[in-house]
Amino acid sequence: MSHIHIPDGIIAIWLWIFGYLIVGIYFLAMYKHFKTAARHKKIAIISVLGALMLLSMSIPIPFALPYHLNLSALSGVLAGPFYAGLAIFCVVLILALVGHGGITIVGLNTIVLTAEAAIAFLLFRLSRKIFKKIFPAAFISVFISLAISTFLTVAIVYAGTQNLEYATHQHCHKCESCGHSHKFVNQAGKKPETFDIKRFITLILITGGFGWTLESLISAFIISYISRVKPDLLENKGS
Amino acid sequence: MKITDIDYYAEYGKSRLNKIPAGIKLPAVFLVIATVIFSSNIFVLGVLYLVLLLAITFFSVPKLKIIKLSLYPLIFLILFLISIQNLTLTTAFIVIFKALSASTSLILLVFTTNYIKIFGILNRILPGFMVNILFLTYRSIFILAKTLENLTGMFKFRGKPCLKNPVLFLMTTGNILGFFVIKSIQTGENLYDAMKLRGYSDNFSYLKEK
Repeated sequence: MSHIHIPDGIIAIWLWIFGYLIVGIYFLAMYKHFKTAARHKKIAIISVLGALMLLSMSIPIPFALPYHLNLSALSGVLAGPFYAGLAIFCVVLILALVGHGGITIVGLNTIVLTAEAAIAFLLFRLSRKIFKKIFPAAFISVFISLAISTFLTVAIVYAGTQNLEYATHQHCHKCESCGHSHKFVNQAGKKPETFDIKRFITLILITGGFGWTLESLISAFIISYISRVKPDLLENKGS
Repeated sequence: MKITDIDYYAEYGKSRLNKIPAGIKLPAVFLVIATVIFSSNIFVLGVLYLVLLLAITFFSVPKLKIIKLSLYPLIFLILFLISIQNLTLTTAFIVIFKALSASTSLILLVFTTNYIKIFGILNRILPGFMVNILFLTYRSIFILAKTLENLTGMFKFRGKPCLKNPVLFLMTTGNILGFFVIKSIQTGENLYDAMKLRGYSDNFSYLKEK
């Protein structure tokens, strides 16, 4: 739920172009980073993280909706947000190619999931100082990052569907001709179709709440296991 | 649907669509996406989806698998449609046709086109290091899929905890995935070392050739 599953042609053009622009700037920064820092070994590790996310997503989880793990927060904790963002872009692009989220939404999805990875990374570093045990630190950081990124998704969908007329293009031509600006009115001249944000948030909270808890628990168990077996993997400083 | 299965059809598929060059298929998909973005005419979108369905019917591609996968966006679209007040049938069908046309065209593309050809074209748009990551991610899926298969097999044979005890189930799943993460990162490091030994110089020249 923390990433946008809305298909192509619904979110406003300006918004998804903006998403791609932000991702373009991020790529430029990373290109310069790779050129100066010469950390090409990271490329292989980022790729493996991407593959890991894709494979984890293929593990079905029994629920009313076909829920799957996301592991963006975990990749943020392991690789740091800057490197995790690259893996996230690959995952989102490959998923879009198999019809899981629109191809135009790839930029926006990358932003949402990278934000999730960044929040999880920062919160995990902070909460490790507060909690003595690693499990609650991991659980809380993943849970909060998932909740924030879900609300970011809701905000994006809301901003991108403010003008539903763009997606469905049913408006009152008589009003256009007389120069009045009216709200979107459907062809039958009935009440305007509007995106109900409260209803959308309720639906997202019902479906997402279960997902956040489940993913946070599994991520926390994964992080606890890594801390016992190979703790140096968690010592990432994000650079 | 596993990505490894899609790759099998793209590589060994015998349909005429498999033989059409990626340079033709990609602009066709681009045209479908552009229509989905800019058109809001229910008839145009309906005909577009019908054409795609006809293509699936007449070409010898895995029909049911493609249709099943292309319906996936509907699950989330339902949440979106429920959230629209005073929703009309026309609007609902416009949005549904948009979603189905875009997903079907992209799925048809990946089911009938080798990934090297797709990434080769992406190489012209995306920065080189990004195409490298994309390419390696795709390759890593196949390397790690085997490890995951072994792990899930082991999980079953050793008697996986049932859902009646959810904490134990989640803990065991977490431990297995934790092991999978460690193994994957080690695989990534070994992969890079192997690539360096074989002369990797931060780009894949054959992606440019294609």
